[in-house]
Amino acid sequence: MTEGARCSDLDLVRRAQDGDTDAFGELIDRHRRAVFRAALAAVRSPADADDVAQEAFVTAYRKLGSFRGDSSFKTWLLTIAWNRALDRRKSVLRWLRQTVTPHEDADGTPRGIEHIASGRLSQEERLAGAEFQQALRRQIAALPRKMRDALLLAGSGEYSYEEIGRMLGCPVGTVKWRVFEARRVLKEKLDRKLRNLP
Amino acid sequence: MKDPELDESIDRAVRELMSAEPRPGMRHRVLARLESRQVRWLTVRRLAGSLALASAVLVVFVLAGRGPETPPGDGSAALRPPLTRLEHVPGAVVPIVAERTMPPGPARGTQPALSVPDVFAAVAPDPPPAERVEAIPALEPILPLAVARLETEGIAMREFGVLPLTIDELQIEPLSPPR
Repeated sequence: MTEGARCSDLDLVRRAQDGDTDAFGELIDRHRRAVFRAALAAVRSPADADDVAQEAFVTAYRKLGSFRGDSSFKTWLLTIAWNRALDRRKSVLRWLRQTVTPHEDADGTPRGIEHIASGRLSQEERLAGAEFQQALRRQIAALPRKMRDALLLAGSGEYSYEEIGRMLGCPVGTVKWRVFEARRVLKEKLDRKLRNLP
Repeated sequence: MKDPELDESIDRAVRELMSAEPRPGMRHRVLARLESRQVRWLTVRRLAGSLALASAVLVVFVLAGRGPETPPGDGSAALRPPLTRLEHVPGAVVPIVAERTMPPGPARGTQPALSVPDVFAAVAPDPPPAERVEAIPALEPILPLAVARLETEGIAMREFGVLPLTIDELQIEPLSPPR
């Protein structure tokens, strides 16, 4: 973020702290996509992410007085959004545990990936296929949460590693390690399944 | 399996997962939420204020309903005046004050200021003479309890002593002489 943009965000924050709702509206327009996608990485549902993003902005408005300017407004806002998203994830997760269908079959095979095991297509064609992409998305969903969060946030292109570290509450090195591990686990699983073709 | 191809597939899948856009009008939705929360908060505050005021009024009425305490008399240890219970007003108690010195009268043309006990006494109905209940007599002074002295039996102590130990001299068989 450029110094000019940072000053501009700060000016808007000061005006919003004085009660200028238009200034806060401007902040919403600037950061709504970043907030929405951060929420999406956690809750993985666009409808829930939209709701969480709104709650995050409302919370940020109420806590504007506590924003001291130690970090950028965007980072501060993203931390609030991430915490709200985690709260939502925890509340839905309990319900989902009772009703969700498992991502894997009884023998541990992720659902959908057996359709890729076809000898008629080349590996490149299989990789590009829609079914493969669908199976890959399921594998991503099946990753441990910490790895998946880091992978999705880093892969979205919206956030720097420093911002992701602030959101997740861990150092930048840990974020990079989680992303690396997530990719390694995914490649291992996919490679194993694809090589088991007849 | 080539690594770069899998990397590319993973990147593509992550981009697709994270490519969703927020619905248009986020600004309006958030500001509308803020406005509705503000209205709700003001309503809650007003309601809390009304409840606090109502509670304060209730407390004043309850305290006033207990009636005035009798003023201190000539300094002697006087008991509280007897109380009259009204049959037709459950729980209501009207103190009977034998003497009441009126404060200096107000200036002509002005209303005398009434205290809360005066107001209460003024509105409390007089009990009908036929139904007046006898006054509760004062309590008699409480005499100290008489407790009989407890007779105890003396415990006879017997003289006893410990005799000194007697230890017999130890007899050890001598060792057999060496050959």
